[in-house]
Amino acid sequence: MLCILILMMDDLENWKTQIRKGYLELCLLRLLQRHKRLYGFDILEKLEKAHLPVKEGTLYPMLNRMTSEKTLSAVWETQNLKGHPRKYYSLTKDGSRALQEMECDFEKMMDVYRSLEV
Amino acid sequence: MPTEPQLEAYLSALDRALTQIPVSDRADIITEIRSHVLEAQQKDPTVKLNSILASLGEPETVANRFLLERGLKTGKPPKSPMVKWLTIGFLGTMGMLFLALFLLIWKFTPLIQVNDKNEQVRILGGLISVDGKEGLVRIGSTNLRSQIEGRTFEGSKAISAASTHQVRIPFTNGDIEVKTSHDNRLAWHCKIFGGSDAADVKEIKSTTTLDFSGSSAVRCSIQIPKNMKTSIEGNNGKLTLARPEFDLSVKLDNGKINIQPSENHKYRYEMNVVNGVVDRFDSSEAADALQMKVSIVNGSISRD
Repeated sequence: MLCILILMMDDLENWKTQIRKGYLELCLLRLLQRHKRLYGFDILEKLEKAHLPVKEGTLYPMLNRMTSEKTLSAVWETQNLKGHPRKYYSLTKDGSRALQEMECDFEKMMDVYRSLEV
Repeated sequence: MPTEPQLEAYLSALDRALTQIPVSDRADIITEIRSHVLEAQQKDPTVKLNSILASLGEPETVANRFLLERGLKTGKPPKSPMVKWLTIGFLGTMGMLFLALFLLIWKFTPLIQVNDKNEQVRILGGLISVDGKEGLVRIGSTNLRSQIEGRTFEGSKAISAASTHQVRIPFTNGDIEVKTSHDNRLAWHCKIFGGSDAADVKEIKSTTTLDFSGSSAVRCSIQIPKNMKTSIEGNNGKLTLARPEFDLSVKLDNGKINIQPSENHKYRYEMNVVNGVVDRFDSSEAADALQMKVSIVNGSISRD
């Protein structure tokens, strides 16, 4: 019985991870659309404030991949001579288009989901 | 930009785990992670580097996420600290157990050591020692001599020199040495261990019996007059026949029989060994050869 419960919980966690991954990417694009440019630590804080806490070890690899896919662009900037450099991310044109498509799909999915309630 | 060795070690480990990624991309990732740590320290100077790095995760885990996002093959996931400590604990305990076992074996080796010549047995590297000659048992530093000390039984008896006279020596367990006396007396010097009765000396008709069959164990040195036909019968033990100058018939069920022939006499040997070994004895067919009839069921007959 305990084993079945553990397996069910394991499956649920997998589902959450999968759905969260796509959802997180959408939220990232939206956040960058709204704030124009943000650096990693900043993004972490804003997501946490929005009740979507993300681990650093998850965010940075995702930003890295999205940059290599040209959805995001990144520039290094140093605020002052003594400060450390920050990597600022912003949406590319491809990123903006991807966001639009993703929002559209997400809305459709939500509509379908809601329609199942009736 | 001041950095700490712990941070550098973390970033080095991360760099090593990212070798599949081109160097320029790798340097970019390392710089960003370093920037994240410094940013966190700048935002909250009270926060410890340990907790920032712990929040990031093990370098190998973080590297694996970068590799996964790029569709590359990930390295072996690092062991969680819990597993790491459990492994260390388990291996440590096993190590201690093996060490203790090794010390025990080392301390109590050899398990048993028998010194036949000195009649000594050492068990568990000397923890228990038995001295047959002294009748001494020692466990650790405790001496158990008094508990096993035998009763002395000694004496001598004049024996008829008639050629028909004979000596019988029955015993149950023991260590008996038989040699030739220089007069016509049967002499014995013994220690008797256990048993309800002491040894007995009986003379019935033409047979003198030195009877140890009622004792649990006996250790004896017996002198027998020349040319006295002698028979010895025992169950377990050791018999030493030292230069016998008389006819001998010996039967022993289990044990050892050591024969030291006299240089001045020839012997007509008749050996019978059921389960054991026997040394080579050159039998003589001379009319004046002494008879040596020896039989043993389990054991050995040796020659000195």
